[in-house]
Formats: sequence, structure tokens, C-alpha cells
Amino acid sequence: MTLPAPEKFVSEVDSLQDLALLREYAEDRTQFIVSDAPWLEALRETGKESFEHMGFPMPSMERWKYTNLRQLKDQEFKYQAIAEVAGIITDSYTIVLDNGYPSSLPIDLPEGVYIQKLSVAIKEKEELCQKYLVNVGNFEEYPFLALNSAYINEGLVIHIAEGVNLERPIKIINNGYSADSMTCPRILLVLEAGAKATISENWQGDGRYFSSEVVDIVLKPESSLFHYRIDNHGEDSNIFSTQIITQEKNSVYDSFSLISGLGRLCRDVSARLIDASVSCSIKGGYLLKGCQHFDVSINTEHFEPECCSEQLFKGVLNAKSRAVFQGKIHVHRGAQGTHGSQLNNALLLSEEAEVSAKPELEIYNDDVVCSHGATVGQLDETALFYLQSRGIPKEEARCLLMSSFMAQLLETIKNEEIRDEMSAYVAERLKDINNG
Amino acid sequence: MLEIKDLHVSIDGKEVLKGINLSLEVGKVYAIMGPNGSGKSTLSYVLAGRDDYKVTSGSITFCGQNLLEMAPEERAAAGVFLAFQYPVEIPGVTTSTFLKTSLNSVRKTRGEEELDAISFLKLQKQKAAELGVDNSFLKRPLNVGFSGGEKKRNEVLQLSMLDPKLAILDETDSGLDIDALKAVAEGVNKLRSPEKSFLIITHYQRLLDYIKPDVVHVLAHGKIQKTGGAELALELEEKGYAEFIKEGEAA
Repeated sequence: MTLPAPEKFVSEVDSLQDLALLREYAEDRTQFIVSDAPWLEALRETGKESFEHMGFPMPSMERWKYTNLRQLKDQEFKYQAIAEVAGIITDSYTIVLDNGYPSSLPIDLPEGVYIQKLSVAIKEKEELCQKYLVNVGNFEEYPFLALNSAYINEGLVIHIAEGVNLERPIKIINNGYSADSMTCPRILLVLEAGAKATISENWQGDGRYFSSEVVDIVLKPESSLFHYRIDNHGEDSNIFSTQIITQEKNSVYDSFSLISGLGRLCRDVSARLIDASVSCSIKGGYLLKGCQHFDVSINTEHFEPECCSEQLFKGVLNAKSRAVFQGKIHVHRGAQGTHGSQLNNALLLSEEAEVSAKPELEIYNDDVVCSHGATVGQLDETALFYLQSRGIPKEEARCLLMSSFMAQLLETIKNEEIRDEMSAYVAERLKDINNG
Repeated sequence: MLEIKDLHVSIDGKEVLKGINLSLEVGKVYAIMGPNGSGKSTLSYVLAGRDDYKVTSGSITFCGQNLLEMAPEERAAAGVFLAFQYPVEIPGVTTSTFLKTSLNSVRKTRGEEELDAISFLKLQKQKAAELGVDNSFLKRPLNVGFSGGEKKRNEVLQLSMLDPKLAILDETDSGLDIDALKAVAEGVNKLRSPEKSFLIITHYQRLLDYIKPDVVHVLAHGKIQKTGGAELALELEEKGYAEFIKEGEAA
């Protein structure tokens, strides 16, 4: 006896048959500039199949409950395979991107630092690329990782050799996107044992575009990565970014990201702490205005003992903007001595702004110290009056209180130069969002 | 310099000030004393411009200007200063940054040139030294982790920097031990001048031992009940407010 298929299932079958993003896949493929490696073909095929099978993420999926992509589902974008605008080299440690793909690479790098376009690295370092590109993560869990894999073609590979300590930050700057484009850049970052580096990314764009980018970070034993990122996109932007971090013994990952601008930005962060004594800190701030939508979902997985992890986000929201924070710390059976903390604080400036926070702990070990929490508040009227009574005009006083709210977060940035840059940037953005 | 006429004020629909008449002359020190709930703090907030207090009737004229039409920041620039009973803690903003923003905002509104970093630091150093405020204090986030005494001294430092025409001290003595009280009072006394008026709001007489008032008003049940010289404060210290509380209840 066969049961009738439930209604939901039927609609998912519909979406399988008509995924606007994959409609021109056969033609898009002709733009690929690297195509001869069979493992790459297999990866693309699996990615495509997975994305087709799952369909476009809908609110019926727990992960996408608070971000409705229905409107986006049927929109068409033109696949962009490589950089369009040539980059200008401004600094020997700077990588310039266009559409998320390298348009200019740094020169005169110290020994042990390899920075190359993905299309070239696949030939020059095939073994390394194959190993990490293929085993990046679970497609079922991350649909946009599947989409990115279906279109894997160009991107960036950074490899820091064993024991190399890079004093200066490597800067990655994406200047923009082509109109109505869909881009799928892949960035692979591998720090070998004992290596130490700082990466500072700055992503911006204007106009209508869709980007499904993946940053895959592999930290070998005793390595440390300080990772900073700013996103400032235009009104019609659709950014789906996936960050996968895999950490081995005694490695340190310390990240800080800042989201402002407009449009829609959804980020999945998966941190896999696969060996003991790892430290993993994922922090960020969001300063939203207009109808901006920011959604971040973080899953930190503790597999082994004595690891320390932190998830800390703070945001200020004005007008009709919306933020979603879904954080999870998953402590597996073998992860005794785990320390985990998780917090999202939001400040709402308007009655129509909204924040959804879901801090989650999943713990299968007794010897664990974990905290989680979320707060939502408004500007303190007494504090505002105090500042005004000292002659500070109301709007400036509001900005000062917002800066105060963000200050605690900014103080955690270890690199002094970047901290000052970020603080100045935040102050400027706060003035902007205060105006709606 | 300040003329309050038949001032009625409500908060959340409840009338707190029920017809205050008060006239302040330049260069004099006034004390307003009264029992808890008499409307003392309300008066100070209304003067500084807090907007959750509703003025239902009456007028306040400050140096010829209608104070009630002015925003709090405009009042500050015009020369009204309120030292808070509970100064607000603002993490992430250093005292020095706050002072500079405050002073330059006031100067800008007054049509004076804003101070550059060097001139500001010089002035700040001088004012802090005059009041015996340690420099390290200025680098700390505003009022965060400050003791009660430190917070009140910070208020006096702000008062000194902004150089107002009218300084209102709201329960400045509350929560202070005798040494802190003396230090704060000394600071205030240094700032006394023929161009500056003070309105000291207090429950207890003890602050007035150190800052000698010219005129003492007793406020109870939303009205000025009695006016006298410094000796009135001593009398209140001895007898308490019982007489006014009864009077109010009868009325």
C-alpha cells in the first residue's frame, strides 16, 4: 500500500524541476576555465545533484526558518566565471578581487607564502587542492556550499608553510560585482603547523548580484589565524557566504566580522575543532538600516578535550532591518574540559526593526562549562538625557551611546591597527544608520 | 537670572510640582531642602530639560530666554548645568573623550571656536589639577567602576569645564562619606564666583556645612513652604521635616 505524498513534498519536487539558478547550467559550464581534472568534475556533479535534490532553501528548513528566500528563488542571475575588472596592485600584501575572483595578486611575498588563483593552484598544487576542495563539508547541511561546488572554477588559494610567521596582514579586497551576476568564488586558506597569519578582508559591491562564496580555512597543529572581515553591500545584493574552519591540535582561530550596508547577507559558519586544546573565537558586529537582512548561523563542534570556543555578536538595527543569530555549540562525547560561550546582544533603534536569536547548546559530555544568552534592548533614555544635558546634540548623543554599545566588542580585536580602523569604520557607519 | 513662575509639573499624570515660584539672582547660592518625594529632583530635571516631565502650566525664564522651549543641549550651551544624583556610566567612552565632545558641543552652540586636541588637553589638565582629580581618571570609561565620590567629583569637573551660569547640584551628598563630601564641597567652593549661581538640592543639612547658602527654601508637597537664610537649614536639621509633612497632609 502506498501513502499519498504529503503536500510539502510535492512542492519540493516542483522546486527540483525548476531551479532558476541552475537553469543554464549546461551553458554556464562552457565558461569554466579549469575542467580537465576528473575529481573536480565529480565534485561539481555532486554539488549540482545535492543542490537540485534539496532545492532552494525554504523556511520549512530549521536553519532557514527566520530568513524567507521565496522571493529570491525564481530570480535569474547570469553566471560570472572569472574577474571582469582588472585590479590595481596597491600593496605587496594585497589581493584584489572582482566578483569574488582574483584580479590582481600580491608580489614579493616572503618565502613559504603561496598565494595563487584557484585555477592556477589546481594545476600547481593539485594534491592540496583536491584534498581540501573535495572534503569541505556536508552539502546536505549547507545548500549554498553545494551550489558553490557545482560551479567551482575560480577563486583563491593561500598556503602558509610550516613555521612561517607573517607579521603583516594579508589584505583581500573585493571591489564589486557585475550587474545581475551570480558568482561562486572559493577561497582556500591553509596554515601549516606552527604558521601564524592575519587576514583582513573587505567586501563591497553595488547593484544587483548574487554571490555564493565559500571560505575554507584549515589550521594545522599549533597554527594561529587572526581573521577580520568587513561586508558592505548594496541594496539589491544577495550574499550567501559559507565559512568552514577545521582546527587541529593547539591551533588558534580568532575572527571578527562586521556587516553593514544594505541588501541580504546570510552566513553559515562551521567550526570543527577536531583535535585537543584548540581555541576558536567567532565574533562580529552588525549595523543594519533600511530593509537590510542579516542572518548568521554558527555551529561550533567540539570533538576532543580541552578546547575553548566563543561566539559573540553585537548589533544595532534601525528602520525595518532584521537580524537573525543562530548559534550552536555542539560538544561531542569525547570533548571533556570544554569551555564554550555564546552571546548575542542587539540594540533596536526603531519599532519595526527585528532580531531573532537562537543560542543553542548540545552537550554529550559531563565535564563542560558552557554559557549562552541573548539580549535585546533600546537606547537608555537616562543616558541620552545625561549626554544632552552636557551640551551634546541628541543625534550625536545617540551615536555616542551606540559606539559605547559596540566598544566592548571592538576592544577584543587584538591587532591594534585593525582595531583602530574598525572602530573608526563603526563610528562612521553608526552615524549613517542613525539616519535610518 | 532665573525666574520660575507658578510652575506645575506632572509625571505619568500625577502632579508633582504644584505652583513653584522662585527667583534666583546672579552670584548667589540657593539651597532647596525637603523631605523625600517633595519634588526636589523633579525640579532639577525640569530645569535641565528632561522630556518625560510634563509642564502643565507656568514659566521658566533664564537670562531672558524661555527655558521651556529649549532642548537639553541648548540649555547646557545657554549655561544651565545639572550635576546628577546618579551620574550615568557609559562604557567604551573615556571620560576625556566625553569631556571634549561635551565642551566642544557647547562651544559650537555658543558660537565659539572648538578646541583642538592640544588646547583641550591643556585645559583639562589645568581643571583637573585645580580640583585634585588624578589624570588616570580621565582615561577611564565615563563613570564605569567609579566610586560614589569619584562620580560626584567627575560631575564637579564637568561643571568646571563647561563653566555654566547656573549650576544645579541634585543630592550631590547622597552616598558620600564625610571625606568625599568635603572633597566635592571644596571643589564646588572653588567654582563659586560673582557670575555663577548655584542651586543646591539636598535632603540633609550636612552639605550646607561646607557650601554655605545665601538663601534656603523648603520644598514640600510640590510647593515652596518656607524661605530663610542659612540658619533655616540648621533649624531643619534639628526639627526635621515633620512640620511640613503635617502641613501638607492637612492641605
